[in-house]
Amino acid sequence: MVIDQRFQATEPIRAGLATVLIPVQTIADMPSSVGNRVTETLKTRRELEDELATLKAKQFAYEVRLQKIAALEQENIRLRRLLDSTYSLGERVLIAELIKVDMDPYKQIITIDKGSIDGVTENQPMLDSKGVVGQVLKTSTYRSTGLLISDPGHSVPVQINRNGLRSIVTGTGAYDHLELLYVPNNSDVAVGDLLVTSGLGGVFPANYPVATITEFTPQPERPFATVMAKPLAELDRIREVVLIWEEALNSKEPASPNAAAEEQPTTTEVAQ
Amino acid sequence: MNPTAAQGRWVIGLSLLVGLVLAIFPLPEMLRYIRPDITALIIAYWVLALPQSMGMFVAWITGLCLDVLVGTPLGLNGLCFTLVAFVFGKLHRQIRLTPVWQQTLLIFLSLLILQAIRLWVGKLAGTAMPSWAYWLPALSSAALWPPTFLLLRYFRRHFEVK
Repeated sequence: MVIDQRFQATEPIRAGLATVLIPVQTIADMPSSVGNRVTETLKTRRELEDELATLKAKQFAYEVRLQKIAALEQENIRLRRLLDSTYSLGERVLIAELIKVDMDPYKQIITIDKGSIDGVTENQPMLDSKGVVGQVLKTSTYRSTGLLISDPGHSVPVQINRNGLRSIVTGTGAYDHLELLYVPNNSDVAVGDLLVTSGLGGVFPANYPVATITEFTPQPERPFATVMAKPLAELDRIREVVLIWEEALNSKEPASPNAAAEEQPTTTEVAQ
Repeated sequence: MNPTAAQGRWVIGLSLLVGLVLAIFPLPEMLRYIRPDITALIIAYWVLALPQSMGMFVAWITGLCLDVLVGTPLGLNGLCFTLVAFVFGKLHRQIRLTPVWQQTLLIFLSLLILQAIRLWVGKLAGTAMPSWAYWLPALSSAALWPPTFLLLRYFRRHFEVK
């Protein structure tokens, strides 16, 4: 067990067993997946039409916004080239579905239906449509487990979107509470501030939304204030996550061979 | 082990698989914390009933599978189930003679010990100290011992597992 915790030696055993045990997970997942399918089949035509209409409206709005983004992106790259700094915008994404099984109740971990065969690697960031969800903890051939940002053992380097103040967000074990560490008492933090990833640490790419501040209480007798935040992603309700691969974080360093090996035709691409 | 004496072993394997499925079966948030350790009960039953067919090795493998499924450090449940198989195997003559309610008490005590081992290893691995609810699975598992015992005994007799 100590070997498992501290080294990677038992990883092949775990991965092999995990592959063998996929049927067990499938059986445990069955009631909820069958339930979903039944409710989808029983939806009325009316409901489906309504849903289609809302989705079309949303799609239209997003497309209009996207037109601008392409131009902005080009402008950003041009300006950054003038400043001689590099910036990565292109990221490949892959949508993975959650396997509905319960795991250790004292850890916030999830199982997803994509594994190393899809190019998933450890420490890869997981997002959903609203914000950062967590990162990949372990991979096997067809499945992976991920650690949520609400786990007490998980931290994300963040900065406040409004003023760039940097901090670290750590999980508390509850789905809707995160804690900010090492925020001085006199710092400029307001309730409602948006926290985005700062890109430090190298795991999460910069500028993805993580949480909003819900509480800021200075502690005059202590060096740091108590700051709580609420994750934007609905961690207890997610059904699918988006895995992202960043194409070359910094073009001054050549991309690692691992990153090149990840580019497999099985993954859907979105890179710009 | 004489191969002609072995019969209906698949029932043991199937029951262990069912135990593993139940161990990761999605439960409502409240019930997750009192999820009974059915797999340990199933191992304890087979060790008591057929100590010559169900040994510590099978218990260990089952534990490893459970570790992979629930994401605990690899070998934690392997150790726990091996201990269950060892103690119940050593004492199977005495335990078999006691009435079911006394067995329930014994199960409760041994599952408390298992939870303590898990807590201890969890501490080494750096998980946070849980609340008092951490000990509830021992209670719920003990409550499920009589039905598990009767059900598995029925299957054992019906399929003539040896």
